[in-house]
Amino acid sequence: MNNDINRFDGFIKEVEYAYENVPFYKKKLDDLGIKLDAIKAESFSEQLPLTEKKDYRKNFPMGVLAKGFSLNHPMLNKSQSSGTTGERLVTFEIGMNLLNRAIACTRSFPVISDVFLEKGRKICRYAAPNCSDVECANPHSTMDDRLLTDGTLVLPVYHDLLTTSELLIDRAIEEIIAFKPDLYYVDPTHFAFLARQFKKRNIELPVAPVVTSYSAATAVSRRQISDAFANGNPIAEFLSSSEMGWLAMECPHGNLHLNEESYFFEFISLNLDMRGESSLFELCITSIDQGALPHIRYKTGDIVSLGESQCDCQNNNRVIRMEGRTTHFVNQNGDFVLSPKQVDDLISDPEWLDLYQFEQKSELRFTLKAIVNECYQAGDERTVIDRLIKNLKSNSEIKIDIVDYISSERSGKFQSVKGLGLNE
Amino acid sequence: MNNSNILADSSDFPGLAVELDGSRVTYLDNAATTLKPSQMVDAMNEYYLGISSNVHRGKNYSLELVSNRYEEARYKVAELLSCSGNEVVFLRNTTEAINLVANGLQLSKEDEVIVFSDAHHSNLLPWMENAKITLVDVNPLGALDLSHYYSLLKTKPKVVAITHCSNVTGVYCPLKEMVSAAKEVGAIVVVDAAQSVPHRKINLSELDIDFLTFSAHKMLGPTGLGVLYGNKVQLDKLKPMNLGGGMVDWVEKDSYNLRKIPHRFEAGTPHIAGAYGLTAAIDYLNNIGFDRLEEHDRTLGRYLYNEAKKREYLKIINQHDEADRGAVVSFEIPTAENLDDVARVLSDSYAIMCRNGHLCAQPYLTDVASGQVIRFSCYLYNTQNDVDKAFSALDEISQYMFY
Repeated sequence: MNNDINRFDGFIKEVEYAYENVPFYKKKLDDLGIKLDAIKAESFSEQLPLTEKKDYRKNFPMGVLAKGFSLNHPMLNKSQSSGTTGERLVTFEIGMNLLNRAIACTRSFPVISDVFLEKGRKICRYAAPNCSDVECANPHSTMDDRLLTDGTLVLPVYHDLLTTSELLIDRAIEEIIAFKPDLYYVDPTHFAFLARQFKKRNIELPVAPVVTSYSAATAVSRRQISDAFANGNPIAEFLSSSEMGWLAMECPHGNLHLNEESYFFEFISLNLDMRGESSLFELCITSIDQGALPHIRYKTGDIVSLGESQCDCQNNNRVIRMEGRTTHFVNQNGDFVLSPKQVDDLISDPEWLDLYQFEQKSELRFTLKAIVNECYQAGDERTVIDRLIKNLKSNSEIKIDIVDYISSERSGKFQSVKGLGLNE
Repeated sequence: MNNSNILADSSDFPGLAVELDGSRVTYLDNAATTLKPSQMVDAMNEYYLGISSNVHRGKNYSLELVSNRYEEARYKVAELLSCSGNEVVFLRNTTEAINLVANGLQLSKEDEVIVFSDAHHSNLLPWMENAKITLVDVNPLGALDLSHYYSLLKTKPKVVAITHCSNVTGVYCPLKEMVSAAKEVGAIVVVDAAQSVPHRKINLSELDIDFLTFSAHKMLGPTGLGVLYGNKVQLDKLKPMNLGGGMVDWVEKDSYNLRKIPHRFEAGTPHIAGAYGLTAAIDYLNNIGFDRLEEHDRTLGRYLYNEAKKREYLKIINQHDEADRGAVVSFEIPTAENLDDVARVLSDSYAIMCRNGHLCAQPYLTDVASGQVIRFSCYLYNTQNDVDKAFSALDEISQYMFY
């Protein structure tokens, strides 16, 4: 209960800060006739409006930056989301706030926290290039060009992951070996691809803890990353957003704990028929550290379900499960059928599978593209198909294509499950 | 095949509703270009009637969306051919693609290129200009002499330029065997697939082909957009033909760095709306299914050939009965002096649109015919009724024009 009170106090403090310092919030609350002193814990969600990406895009920079900040302020860091679907966004925040959020988040996994906090630690990043244009993965760049001030080496890779040239793969491998990272900060699909390349070349991937983000870790990606190291190498998935930073991190028991020290979280119900399973919610976040660009009741677009309230680790923060984004949910005849995470659970991590993409072509037609390895034998996919079919509406058809190539999104992210999406 | 086996909804094709002097048009010139479905035109309009930005240049919002759609077309083609996205180059058409390869390989007149006698000019002239060509003979029936092809490979040619399906006869060559034999002697294999990709699934992961090309407009897509597939190793060696914006990573006053493949071959603003249209066209074909398209092509091809054979006043080009034949037939009318007039009458009096002339394969027709030919060629919206109508019209006018 005390935790709840503390969380709400932090939330109200941020709302007051935003109202007094940020033009967008002042106008919005004034227009709605909201008086701050009338906001109560039991009714705030009916009083205060939700915000979304377009509010921050449309009002950037002057409407959303707090008083006293400009984009040239020396304490600010810039981040930008890819905008794969046109929902791109540029955000600035105080670098120290972002660092504190990250530090708080890593506490879910003490070994990773220790590495992250170590002075002079070196991080290798392997993920989609950090902008959405094709020039970003320039094969002429050097290691120095890609070394960030915080000690992160950004490894070279093409936007369309599987077209990354042998030259660039060799360069990424050489750079990892030369750089000797203390931590890998990676997209799981990308890192699984790189792990396969190490294996193909008979080279051992240097051991270091792995944190995965950017896109959901499928079971097959996770298996390949895990197999690339000796037993016990820490691997943790975490949830972050370009605009907010580190939101949640997996603990050693495999539960994804919210970073409740750094944010005030809400769960907006989607009201979907979940056939008896736990309900789905859109994750909604409020910053609580009075930064340069406060977010109040910000709808992330990330759909989550709530996990068990008790975890065997020492972290008492709530546990969530990332289900995916509504735009990728499997929807048949207007009914929600499966989330991307549920599809991944059904596909699981068969030994013969390296990479897949499950795509809904129409209400009843699906394709499962699969890149398989040397363990594959004709017909192996049958059990996977059967599991999926049982969870789809009757008369659904799944065409399996064993392929050598599956394209990434143009942003560089790889989408494993592409449903028709929910009608919101 | 009758009207109950139609693959496409005719209402998708406004061109099928056009009338000429009160008669509904029968379109049988699909080997030249196909009709366009509304879905494809709508996709192009989406570009032209929206914020019609450029691609890959700058950071504005609409440019991002347009670039996404443009690259989606590349991925769609890669999926169609079972190759990688960076092996797909967008050009103007098949002709430009073969010219790029013939020039980009930097051949000399000492380099031998094997070319098919029934090749379209676009798969003949670029080689003639850049190298020493050797033609594969045709046999007395008008078919390719495959034994001659295999014997020519002993000379270890630098390039083998295969025509997968003849635009004159609709006959497919045994691609897999021919490619395999060419690779055994170390040749670079280039395939003109302009007449085959619209009808049959080509799985490049099962074929050791270096370059393959086709045009969007022969498969329900827009004109002005062609596709070159290049195996990434070969594509990386190819010299770009056009230089300019969008194909370089860095430019100094006296030097430049090329961008990675495939972008280095796409200098200047590309056919953006065309890429939208090609995506829609491929979606349309995928929705029908290539198994059904191929079956339709074979069945109608056989029907065309058999109907032509029944007419004594015609002389079919390539009379090899067992040939692997698509829905194309070309024929001479030995007793008709001027096939321009025949084509004009078929068009103006019967509303039948077909092709006459040398079909951009003049050396071949010089060998196997005495001059011009008439060609009927079908696509997914054509039926046996269309073929019946065309031959029936020919039968009628034969009384007045061929005897």
